[in-house]
Amino acid sequence: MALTHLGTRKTLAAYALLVPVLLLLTLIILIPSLWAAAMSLTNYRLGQALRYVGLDNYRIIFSDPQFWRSAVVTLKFVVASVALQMLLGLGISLLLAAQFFGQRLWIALILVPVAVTPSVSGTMWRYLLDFNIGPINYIVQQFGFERQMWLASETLALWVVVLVYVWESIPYVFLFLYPARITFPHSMYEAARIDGASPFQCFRYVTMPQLKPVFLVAMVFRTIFAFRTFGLVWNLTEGGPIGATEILAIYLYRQGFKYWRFGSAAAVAILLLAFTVAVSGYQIRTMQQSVFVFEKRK
Amino acid sequence: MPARSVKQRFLMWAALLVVVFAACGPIVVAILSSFKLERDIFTFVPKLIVEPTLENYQALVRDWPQFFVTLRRSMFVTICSAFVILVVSLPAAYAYSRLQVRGVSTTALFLIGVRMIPPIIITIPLYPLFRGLGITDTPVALILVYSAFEVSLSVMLLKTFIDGIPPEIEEQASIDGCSRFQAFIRVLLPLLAPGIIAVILMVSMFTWNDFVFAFLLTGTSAKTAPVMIGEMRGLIGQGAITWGTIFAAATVQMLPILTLIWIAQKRLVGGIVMGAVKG
Repeated sequence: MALTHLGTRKTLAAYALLVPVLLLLTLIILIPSLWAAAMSLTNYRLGQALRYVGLDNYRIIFSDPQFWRSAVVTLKFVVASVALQMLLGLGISLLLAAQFFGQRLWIALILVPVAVTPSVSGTMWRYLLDFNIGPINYIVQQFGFERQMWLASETLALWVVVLVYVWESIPYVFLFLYPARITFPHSMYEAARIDGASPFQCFRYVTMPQLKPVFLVAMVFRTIFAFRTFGLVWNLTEGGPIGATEILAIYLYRQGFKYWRFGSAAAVAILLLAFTVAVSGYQIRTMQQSVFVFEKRK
Repeated sequence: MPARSVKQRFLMWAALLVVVFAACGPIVVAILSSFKLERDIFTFVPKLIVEPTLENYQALVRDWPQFFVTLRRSMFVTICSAFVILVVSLPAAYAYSRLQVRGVSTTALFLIGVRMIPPIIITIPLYPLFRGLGITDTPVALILVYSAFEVSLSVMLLKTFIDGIPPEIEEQASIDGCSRFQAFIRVLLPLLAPGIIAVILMVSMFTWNDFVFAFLLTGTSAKTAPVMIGEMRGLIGQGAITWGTIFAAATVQMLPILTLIWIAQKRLVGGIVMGAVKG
C-alpha cells in the first residue's frame, strides 16, 4: 500500500516537472501546426472574412505551374546536395579518423561553417562568386575558362547554390559520422589486414557495414533539413533568376508573406510536413528509444 | 595502426589542408576584406597584400548605428532564450533521468517529434496570432519561438549529462536531511555545470545565428543582426554601402561565436561530438 502511494507521488512529480517543457512545445509548435493544417482548408488572408474552402488551396497549388517548377527545383536541390554532402562528409570523417597532429584544432576549423549565419555566408559567397570582382572568377580565368555569372545564370545558379549549401552542411554530416567511426576498435582493422584486405576492402567490408546505421540516420536528417532550407538560398539568390532556385520554402514564403495568401501558404507547409513525417517518422521512434527509454526493470 | 609511408602521410596532410582551406577560406576572405580599402576589394585581380585599414569599421560605426542596435537586440534575445531554455529543460531532464516512472519516456516521443516540424510551418499561423497578441515584431515573440525549438535538444543533452552522475550522490544528501529539491540545487546542479555550459553554447549559437524566424516574424522594431546584415547586403547594388562595411558588420557578428569556439575548443568539440553520438 505504502509503496503504491510512493509510486503515485513519484509519477505526479515526474509529470509536474515535465509540464513546462510540454506546455511550451504544445503552445508554440503543436497548436500552431494544427492551426496551419486548419488554415490550409480556409481562404485565410489578412483582413478578410474567414471561409472554409475545403481542398481548394491544394487544388490551386497543384494547378500552379510555379508550384511544380518549385517542386522540381527542390527535388534536384535535395537529391544533389544530400548525395554530395554525405559523400564528402563521409570522406572527411574517414580522413580525420586517421588522427592528425593537432586533431582538435583541425576539427574545430572544419566545423567553422556551422557558426556562420545564412546572411553572412550569403554575403560572403555572393562576393566570392561576383562576376566582376569575385576571386572565383579570377581563378577560373587563370585556368583558361570564361568567367561566369554564377548566381544569375538560369542553368548554373541552382548547382552553385547546391555547392554553397553543401559547404554549409558538411560539418553536420561530420558530427554524425566521425564520432561513430572513432568508436570502432583498431583490432577490427588489424584482423582484416592480417587476412590480407586492401584499404578499399577494409572500407567496403569493415567500415561501411559498421557505419551504415549512423550513415542512414544522418542521411534522413540531412534530407529533412535540405527539404526545408530557406535562409542560405534566400540570401544567395532570393529564388532567382526567374525561379531557377525557388525551392519550396521560398515558394511558401512568397505565397504567405508576399501575396498574403496564408491559406495556400499553409497548404504548402502541410505538404512539407507530410514529406517530413514520411521520411522521419520511423527515425523519431528510434531516437526516442535510444535516448529516453530506460533499461528494462522488473 | 601500421606505419604509413611518407607518400601516404603527405597525401593525407594535403587532403586535410584542402578540406580546412575550403571550410575556412571564405570566412578568412571576408574577415581580411573588412580590413581592406574599397579600391583594394574592387579589383578583378585579388590583392593579397594591402595596407590594412580600419576605415570600414569607422564607416560602420558612423553610418550604421542601426546595426549596433540589432546586435544588442540579438544579444538580449540570445541570453533570454538560453535562460528560458535552461529553466524549462532542467526539471524535465531531471525527470527523464531520475524519476523513471511508466509513461514518462513516451512523452519524449512528443518532445522529439514536435521538434521535427519544419519551423516555417508555424510562422504562418504565428504571424497573425502574434499580431493579435500585440507581440509581433517584439523580442518576446522570438524568445518564445527559439525556446520552443531548442528545448528538445537541451533536454536530451542535459538528460545524458545527469545520467552520467551517480544517483548515490543525491541519495547521500537526502540521508543528510536534504529534500529532493535541495539535493538537486546544492548537489546536482554544481556537478552539472559542464552540461549546462554545453547547452548554453549550443542554443546560443543557434539563436544568435538564426535567420528564418527573425526574418519572418520581425519587422522593423525587433530586427536581429543577421536580418540587418541581409538588408545591408541588399543595398550594395544601389551604392548605398560598400562591401568593406558589410564585411566589417559580418566580422563583428561572427566574432563572439568564433571566439567562443576558440576558447571552448576543447570542451565544445568534445561536447558536440558526444551530443551527436547520443543524439
